[in-house]
Amino acid sequence: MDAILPLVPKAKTEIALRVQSVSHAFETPEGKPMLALDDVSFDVPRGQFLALVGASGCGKTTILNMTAGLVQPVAGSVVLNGQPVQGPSRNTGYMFARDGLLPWRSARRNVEVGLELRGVPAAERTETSTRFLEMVGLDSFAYAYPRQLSQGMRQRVAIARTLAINPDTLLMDEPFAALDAQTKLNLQAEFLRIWEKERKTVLFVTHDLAEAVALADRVIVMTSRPGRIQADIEIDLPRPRDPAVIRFNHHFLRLSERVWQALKAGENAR
Amino acid sequence: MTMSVSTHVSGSILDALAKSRDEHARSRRRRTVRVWLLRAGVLLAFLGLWEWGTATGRLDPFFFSQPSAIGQFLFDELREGSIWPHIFVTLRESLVGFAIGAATGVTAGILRMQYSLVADVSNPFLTILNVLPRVALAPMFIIWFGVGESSKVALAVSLVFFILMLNTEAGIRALDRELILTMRALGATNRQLFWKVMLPGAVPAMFGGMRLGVVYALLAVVVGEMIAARMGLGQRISFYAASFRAEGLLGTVLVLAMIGLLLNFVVVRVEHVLLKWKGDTA
Repeated sequence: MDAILPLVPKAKTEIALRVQSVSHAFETPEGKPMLALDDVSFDVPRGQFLALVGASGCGKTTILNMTAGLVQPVAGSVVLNGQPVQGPSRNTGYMFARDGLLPWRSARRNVEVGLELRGVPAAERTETSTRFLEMVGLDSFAYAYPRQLSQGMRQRVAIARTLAINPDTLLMDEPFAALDAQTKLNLQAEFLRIWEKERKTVLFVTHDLAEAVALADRVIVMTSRPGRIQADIEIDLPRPRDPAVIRFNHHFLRLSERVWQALKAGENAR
Repeated sequence: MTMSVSTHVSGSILDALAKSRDEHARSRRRRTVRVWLLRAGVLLAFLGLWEWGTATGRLDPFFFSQPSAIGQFLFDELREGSIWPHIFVTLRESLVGFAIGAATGVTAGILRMQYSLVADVSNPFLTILNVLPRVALAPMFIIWFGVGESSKVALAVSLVFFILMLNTEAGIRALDRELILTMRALGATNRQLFWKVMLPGAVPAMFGGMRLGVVYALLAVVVGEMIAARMGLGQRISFYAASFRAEGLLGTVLVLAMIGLLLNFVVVRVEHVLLKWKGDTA
C-alpha cells in the first residue's frame, strides 16, 4: 500500500527526463563552497506531473534550472528526451512566480513573444495567441497592457505565453505563489484542466504541500542543505481533479500527511 | 448565487454612484478654475507691482524696463516681422543640434552597453569631456566652425550627446532582471534580448533624456549666439544688452521662454503617444 515509486519506473513507459547522480555546489557570500545537491537521481516518465517540495535551500529550483539548461551541474547529468541538457531548449517552457510580462506589450503581444523569438509568421502568431487567450479566459483583454491587469490575469497571460510555444516539457517554479488564496485555487484548477487535456511532462516546484498533492501525479520530498531525496510518493488521486474540492477528500488528507511527515523527517535528519 | 442580490438594489446604488461621480467631477472642475484664477492673480499682481514701481519712480525703467514697454516691444517686433528670422535661426540650430546629439548619444549608449570593451576604453575620455563645462568650448567651436549656424549646432550636440548617452545607459542598466531571465527561458538569443527587451525597456529613460536635452540644446545655441553670431535670438540679446535696451532684452528672453515651452511640449506629446503602456506619463 505504501506507494513509494521505484527510482526506475516500469520499462514500458518512455522516460522524458532523467536526473542522474546530480550534485551541485554554490559559493557562499563568504567564499566557502556549499553543497546544494548531493547525488540526486530520479526519472520522470513522459506525461507525468511531478512536484518537487522541500524547504527553501533544498536545491529544487536548481534542478529546474538544470533541466532548463540555465545551470550546469557540477557532477552528474540531466537528460531530457534522450539528449543531455547543455543549454536552453526551445521545447521547454519555464514559468516563474513572477509573470515577467513585458510592460510595453499588450496581453496578446506578450502571449506571442515566444513565437516571435522562433520566427513564427504573424498570421500564425495571431491565430495561436487568440486560441490561448481564449483558453485562459482573457480574450476580451487581448489589447490590455500588463499594468491594466490584475495579478491573477497577468499570471494567466504568463501561462498562455508558456503554452503558446507548445513545449513538450513544462518547468514551473512556484507559478502560483504570488497570488491570493482564491485566485490561486482558480488558476490551479484552470491550469489542471488545460494540462489534463494535453498531458505534457511537468516539473513543478512548490513549498505548498496542498498544491503539490492536489496537482501532481507524484511528489518528491527533498531535504535541504545538502539537497537529497527524502521520499518519493505517488499521488494516486483520480483525475480530472478540482483542487478546490479535492482538499476535503480523505485520501488527499492521508497523502498530504505522508508528504508532511516526510518533510518533517527530512528536517529532523539534519 | 451571490450575484442576484446586486441586481435588486442596483437601481438606487447606481444612481447614488453616478451622483457621487458627478459631484466629484464638478468639485474637480471648480478646483481647476480656482487654480487658474489664482495663477492669473499672482501674475497680474507681479506685473502690476512692477508697472506701479516704475511709474512711481521706485524702480528705474532704464534698468528694469516695465511690462507695458516690453508688451509694446513684442507687439511691434512681431507685427513688423523683424524678429521672425531670428526665431527661425535659433529654432533651426536647436533642433538640428538636438537631433544630431540625441541620435549619436543613444547610439553611443547602446554601443557602450553592448560592448564592454568600448565602454572601458572610452570611460576616462567621456568622463573628462562630460565634466568639462561645455560652454567654455564655445569660443573654440566658433574658431573651428565659423560664426554661422554650425558652431551653435556643434555646441548643442556637445551637450545633448552626453545627456542622451547617460540616460540610455541608465535605462538599459535599470532593466528588470526578471524580464531578461523570462525571455532567456523563452529561448531569446542575445540579439533578440537586445532588440525586444533592452531597447524598448530603455525608451522611457531616453525620453527623460530628451526632455532635458531639448532645453539644453536651446541653452547651448543661445550662449553660442551671444558670443558671436550674425543671426539668432542670442545675438539679439547681446545687441540689446550692449545698447542698454532692457525692454528688448526682456522681450527676447520672453520669446525664448515660449520656444523652450513649445519644444518641451512637443517631446512630452510624443512621449505620451509612444509610452501609452505606462499610462502615467504627464
